[in-house]
Amino acid sequence: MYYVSRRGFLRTLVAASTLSLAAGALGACAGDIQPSGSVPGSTVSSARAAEPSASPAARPGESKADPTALPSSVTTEMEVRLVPSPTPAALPHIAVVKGNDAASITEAAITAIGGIERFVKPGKSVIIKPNICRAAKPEVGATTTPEVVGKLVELSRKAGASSVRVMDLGWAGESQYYQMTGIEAAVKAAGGQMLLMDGRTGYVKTPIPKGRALKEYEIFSEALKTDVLINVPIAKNHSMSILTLGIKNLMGLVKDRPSIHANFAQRLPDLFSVLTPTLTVIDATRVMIANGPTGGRLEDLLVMNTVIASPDTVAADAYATRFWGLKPKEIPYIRTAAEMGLGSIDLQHLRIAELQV
Amino acid sequence: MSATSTETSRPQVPTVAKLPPARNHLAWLPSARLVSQAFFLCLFAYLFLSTTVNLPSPLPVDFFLRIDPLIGLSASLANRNATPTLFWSLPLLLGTLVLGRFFCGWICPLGTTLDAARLRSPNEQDRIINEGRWRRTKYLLLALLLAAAALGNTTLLALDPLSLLTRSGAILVFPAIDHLFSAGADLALSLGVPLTAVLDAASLVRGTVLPIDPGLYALAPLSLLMIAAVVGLNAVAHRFWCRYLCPLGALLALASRWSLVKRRASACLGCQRCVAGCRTGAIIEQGQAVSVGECVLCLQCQHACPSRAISYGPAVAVQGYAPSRRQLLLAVGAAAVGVATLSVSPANAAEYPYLIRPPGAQKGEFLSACVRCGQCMKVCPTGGLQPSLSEGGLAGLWSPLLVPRLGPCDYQCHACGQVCPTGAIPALTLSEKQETKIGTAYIDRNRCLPWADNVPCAVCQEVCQVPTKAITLEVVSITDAAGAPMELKRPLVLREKCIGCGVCEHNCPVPGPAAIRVMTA
Repeated sequence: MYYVSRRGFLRTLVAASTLSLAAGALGACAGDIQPSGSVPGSTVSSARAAEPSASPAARPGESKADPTALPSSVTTEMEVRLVPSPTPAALPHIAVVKGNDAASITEAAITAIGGIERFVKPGKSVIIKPNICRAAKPEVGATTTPEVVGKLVELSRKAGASSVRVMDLGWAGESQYYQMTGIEAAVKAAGGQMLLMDGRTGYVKTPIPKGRALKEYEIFSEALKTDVLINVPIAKNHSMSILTLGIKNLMGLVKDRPSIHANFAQRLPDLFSVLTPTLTVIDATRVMIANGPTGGRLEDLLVMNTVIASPDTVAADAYATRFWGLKPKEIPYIRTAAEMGLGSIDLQHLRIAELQV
Repeated sequence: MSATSTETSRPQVPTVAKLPPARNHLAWLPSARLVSQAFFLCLFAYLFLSTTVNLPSPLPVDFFLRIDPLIGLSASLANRNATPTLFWSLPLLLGTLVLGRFFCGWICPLGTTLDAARLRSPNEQDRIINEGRWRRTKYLLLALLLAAAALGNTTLLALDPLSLLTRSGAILVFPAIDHLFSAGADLALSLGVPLTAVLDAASLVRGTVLPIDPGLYALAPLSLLMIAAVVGLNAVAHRFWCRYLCPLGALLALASRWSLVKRRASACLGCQRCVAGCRTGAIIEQGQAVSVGECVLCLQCQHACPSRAISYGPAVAVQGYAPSRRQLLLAVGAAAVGVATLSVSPANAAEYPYLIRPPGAQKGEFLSACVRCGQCMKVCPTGGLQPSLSEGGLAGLWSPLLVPRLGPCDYQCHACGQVCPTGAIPALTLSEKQETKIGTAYIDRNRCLPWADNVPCAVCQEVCQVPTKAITLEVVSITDAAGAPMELKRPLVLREKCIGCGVCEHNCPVPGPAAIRVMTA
């Protein structure tokens, strides 16, 4: 230090900052160049709505709207991006597959519902949202079975997805929850990527046009932007919301989770109206019947060896209520979601394929 | 160290331009020392970074703390019980008896850091006056520390160099780098780098090397003051800390008194080149001799000697800086006064109600075995373990306590006990830890949403990690503000089941202090 002149020091400083700026610029160029301000609203709707034809490359031109606009100011064009696509008459609304091997029943359920190609088109980005609420061993049944997640990653990759990212945010800030739940290993083995959420970065205030209790909420922007969102809850009971299934699983994608608790019956469907998954796959290989949603005892699990898949999350949730001997209408948030027209709980009028593998 | 020095040289050093360049078959040794220093600094950094729940290391991550005889001795002394890893420090102590203070010159990561942060030219004269008195300071500090340990107090172990360095890394340097990293990510986002690119880049290190949330430590500024002082004193004299203050250095200096490897100057011409270059200022008598206990065997003098006059072997060392008996007695007396003063603290009777210690830590025993190294805080995956200031009395300065609002005790983790070098936090198995009570949660019914405001909430019950739930929900029928009947669930803590992990307190949605808080007992 004693032999560095001021000039020399400044020169080094300038050189270092030039280098790091250059590196940063290179990194930015190498990355996906998207208009920066268009996080929640306009791009979201256009990306998802233009399902068959528009290639991602065609987008930058149209989304010139206002790159400097603040996320919260985008209120006009917001639309519910993923109303479950109408189910062709030949396909069931819900596929339910029983069998001993979690991976093969997952695959069978996807096949029965029309194959992964129905949802994942080549070149589209996929986000898979399992339940990784805490660092717990997979056998405890508090987090989604790794084999189910791994199979969905594998199928999405085969269908030609441009990226397959898996994410959730644990409750307690434990850093090993991706590892301990076995999900990271399964995802990596299947060629997917874990995306680490930190609970601070990447949330955008998103208007909720259909919301009755919530008019806007901070939601993880990638989950809104992605072309395909696959929701993979594990079936558990819940001390307040009675059950945690597909709709409830989406709470992992919002910034302020505790506030939802004040009114599950309305706030969950409100969130669901903007955060609608393309496909929900309920992992009911084990079903937690007591001490949920945290659990921790094997005695609290029923082995059901079942996977339920449907593009209609509300219908999938409605079907799953039977594991606890409940009716869909007995779960307030499922009932509200149906009343708001976000999905169907009228199981008598839905085509349900029940298979055994 | 010497290659790039400035032209100004000390006036009293005679020039010896005529001497032939030295040819020395041991000329490689100083380079070997540099390699050794770099290796051990890297090893220290590696083990430090490996101190997480995710990166198991083949070596014990507390390796440097284990081999530190000062830590082993004083913790054993204070705890009246040999620490489980005491024998790890024997090789260093025995090695020093034979070889001298090689640890300080070849291994100590703090010494290497100070060498790297050289703030004075080797040719500048040190700004220290009354050197001999300063040299004795480290022995007095050692005497103070050991006497306090004999009286059951280990607060001063915060000054052990390895404890100091580990702790500074854990609560200051590492979290500060982490926050810079976060700030960089935020900057990238605001510059329009896509979120996935930023999060993917973060995923490379977050959750493995870095924690998910950057650590937050109230005592980081105090830590900065300490480490800045230690490094900054280099501006007064190079390795000021090692020469005058380091209590571990003092212990090793005592052990090296009769060592078989000492500097010898046989055909010295008195050029004094070695004197100026000596990093600890140990060479006296115009280069002829070295003061006992001060040489760290860096071999720089041998390298610098133009006439190959310097060798190492058995020799009689001269002029130690042993403190006088009176000074030693004074140090012991000071220790007694200090420990007595600390025991006057009311914290010894009326405990701070939120003094949640790591799992298994036994009251009393814990504080006397804690070496203030901060390993537990580094490893804690939730960042909940924090250094205490005066929560447990000033005697507990730097010792860990759990602050659940910052991070709860993760049910699936027992890492703090595994990395504690002295067993102050016992190495419980995971199942033992899961049944160890560290506190009890209490609900503040004046602030809890269902209790105070009739607002439905049961986050605490939902996140409770005890498999059979230490929180139940009492269902009550009430009338709401509008007069309509409603059903409400109110949380109740089952004290005998609660282990005090604080995951409820951490997640309580009530702003400010949680409406459910973990308290001692």
